Amino acid sequence: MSQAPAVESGPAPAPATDAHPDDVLVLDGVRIHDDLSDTELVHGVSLRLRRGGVVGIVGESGSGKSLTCRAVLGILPDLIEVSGGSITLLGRDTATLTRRDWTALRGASIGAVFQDPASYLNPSITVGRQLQEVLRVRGGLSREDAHRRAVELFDAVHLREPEQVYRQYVHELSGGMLQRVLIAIAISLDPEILIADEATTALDATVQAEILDLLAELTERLGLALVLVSHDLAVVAQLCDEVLVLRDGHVVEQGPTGRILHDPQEEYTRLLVAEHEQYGLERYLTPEPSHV
Amino acid sequence: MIKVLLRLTSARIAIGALLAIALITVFGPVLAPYDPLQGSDLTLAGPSAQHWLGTDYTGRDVLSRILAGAPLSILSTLEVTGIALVLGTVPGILSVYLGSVFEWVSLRLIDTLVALPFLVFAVAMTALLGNGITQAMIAVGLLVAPLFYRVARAATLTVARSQYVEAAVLAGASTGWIVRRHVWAKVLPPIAITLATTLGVGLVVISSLTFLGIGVQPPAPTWGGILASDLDYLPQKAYAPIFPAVIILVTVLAFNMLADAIRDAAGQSGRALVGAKAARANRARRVAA
Amino acid sequence: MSEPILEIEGLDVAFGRGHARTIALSGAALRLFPGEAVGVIGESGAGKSTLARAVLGLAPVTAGSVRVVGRDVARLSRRGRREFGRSGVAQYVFQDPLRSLDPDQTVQAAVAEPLQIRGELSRGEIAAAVRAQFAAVELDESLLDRFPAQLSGGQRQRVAVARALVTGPRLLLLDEPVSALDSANRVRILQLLERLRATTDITLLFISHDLGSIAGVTDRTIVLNRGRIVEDGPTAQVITAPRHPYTRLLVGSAPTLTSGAADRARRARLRAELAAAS
Repeated sequence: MSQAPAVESGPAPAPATDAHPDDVLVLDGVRIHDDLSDTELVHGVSLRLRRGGVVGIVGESGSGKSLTCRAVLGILPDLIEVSGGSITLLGRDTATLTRRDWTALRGASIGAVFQDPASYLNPSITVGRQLQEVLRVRGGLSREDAHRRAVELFDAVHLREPEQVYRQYVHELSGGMLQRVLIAIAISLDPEILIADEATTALDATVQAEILDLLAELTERLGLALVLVSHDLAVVAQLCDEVLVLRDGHVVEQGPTGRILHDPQEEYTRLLVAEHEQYGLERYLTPEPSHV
Repeated sequence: MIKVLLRLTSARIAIGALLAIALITVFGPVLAPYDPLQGSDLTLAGPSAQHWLGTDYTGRDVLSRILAGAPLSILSTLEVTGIALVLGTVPGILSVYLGSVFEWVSLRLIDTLVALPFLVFAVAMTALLGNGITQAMIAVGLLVAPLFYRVARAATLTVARSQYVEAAVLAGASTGWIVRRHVWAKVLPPIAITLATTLGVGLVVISSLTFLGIGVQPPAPTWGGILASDLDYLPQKAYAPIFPAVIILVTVLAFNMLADAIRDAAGQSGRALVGAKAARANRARRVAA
Repeated sequence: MSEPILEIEGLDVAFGRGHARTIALSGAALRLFPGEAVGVIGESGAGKSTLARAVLGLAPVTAGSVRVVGRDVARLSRRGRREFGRSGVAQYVFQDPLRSLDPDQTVQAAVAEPLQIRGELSRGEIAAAVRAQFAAVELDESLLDRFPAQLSGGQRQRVAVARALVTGPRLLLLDEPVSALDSANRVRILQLLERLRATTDITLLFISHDLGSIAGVTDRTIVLNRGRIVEDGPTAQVITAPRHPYTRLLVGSAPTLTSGAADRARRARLRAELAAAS
């Protein structure tokens, strides 16, 4: 029901700034600037992620969602920088991190999977060896132990016949299987946070559901905090406790998933919900669409 | 693309140098202060007011010989490149469309040409057909053609498999239509880069051949030939080879720089290259504010 | 008109030979009538694109027939294919407009191309036709001289649709036309298609792996699984009462605003069912 008070335009107010011991990731008014065109691309994103929590970011291409993820991972493209606000990763301000600090954090504390899994893997080495490499180099495991752990991880991401997959190459595996391999690599060092940026976008519908179900399971089982980014509100709605809606670098709306879906305050959010109800399965599954 | 090209410093230097070389090529013989074939008693002299670069072993003015040698060296390079361009590009594009037999045969011919060693082949050709610059040029042109073939073929293959060509095919386009309308524009940039590179390579080869005395009738001056004769008199004039060597070097360098610049300007990196300076300035301003 | 615009019977399509032989379609049969909007859904590799290619006369058909407006296009010669293409009866909208538009050609030239290939109209007539199509897809005329890279994703896809419509096709095939687009543009294209259906008797064949967009536009849905048509019926029925295990899994997998954790268990069950059924 939209009997809310007059809607303010502009970004949603930033959440309370008192830190909580369980916060694994805190963004406070993060701004990102492109030095090449001298324009600001992201205008103040704030979010708070707790251990085991799931936060969703919905936005179209150009909304700034991927840039925000890259800022959190410390991999913004050349000439693009965080120009305002702060990012606190596991209690540490990322502005103070050196290259060495970042290298230590990545993988062990924060992992990521992106769209188009094949382009993130070496086509001339078996996928098993690639995971083994991570476990040996960063995890300090012996070759045999790393091999065994890799197979365990492949099993944990529900790859059928993990021992066989270990020996296969990128071109022999489907998109869904490759994404599972990447998820296995991303969680192999037991990070606290996993970022999934359009991780299911290029996949078939049934495979997409499998991967999302897997991510949900990992969140529950391992206490992994998840940042799920997508252009599809439904994908985000399925898994997330809290949703941020981004558009042109602004946070249009932010709040608990239930409220965003059933009581969207902003025009843009209402548009996203309406689109699903007009041109989605909701047309047939819910005889009375919720009032928009 | 030309606009982006001209914004790159490397391109401006290269084009400037090449314009100078072009002027020398066209006006060289006229600009030469002395008759390049006329000897004098003043042999192996060092640079002086009358002879800026000194004289050679028969008393000929070195500067005049270099200026007069420009047309032969540069024009031969242009002709070699032209032959390679035509003999390579056309079969390269056609190999994608004229069926598998033509494709296989042309590929194998090209492989054969690639396998032949440059100078040995050129020497053999001139031995067979006579020691003239034309024979040498044809030989070298033939040997450089594979470069154009492969570049043209690769560019055409990319286009041929693209979706927009598929869209045209769906609309009933013939092969000729597709080549004219879509392939041609995509093949030109890589060919332009190859052309610039080949000019550099061609000049090195022509200089090598004329250095060995192939394809040129003495006493006609060529840059390679001047270099060769200088080497005979090193004990007397050790710095003599520097002059012809430098001009060959500068010209080849200019061609290569131009090739690199075209490649940079033709892609996405063109924008970033040109913008990097501006970006640094923007950042400095922002941080200071 | 009661003549089917598309009639496929016993269609088999196979690629390669010997060990490398893959059967892309097996025993496909369907009939489309003018004015229908039919969705074809299935996973990658299920045969959707092959079906589209067969309709355009571009697939290696090993058995059966494909009749478009009465003409069998299953085994056309190269010339036959060119003629069929030139007739403009069936047209195709590709998934990614960035790849299906020549980057070195203005969008005006892209839309004009099919007419120029036909060679029947004068320059002026072609220009007028292009302008008319631009208007039909709600693109401003000022964009005519732009290159594809200078347009947004949504505008590009509308150019692709304009190009497909410029020859006045009876049958329009769209391959994932909205997958690469953002919300607003997706809605625009789908609304465009609705308007098209309302004003002409064009038949739409909408290929997608996303049940959501199919639900939005089509009145009939065909489900492909491993080269076979496993379900063919009114869209509403396919979604609310799917019969085949694969269709049930598909419906259960599509992300909706109302799906949640409870569906996870259901999906696991459906996957097991499908595995048992194959």
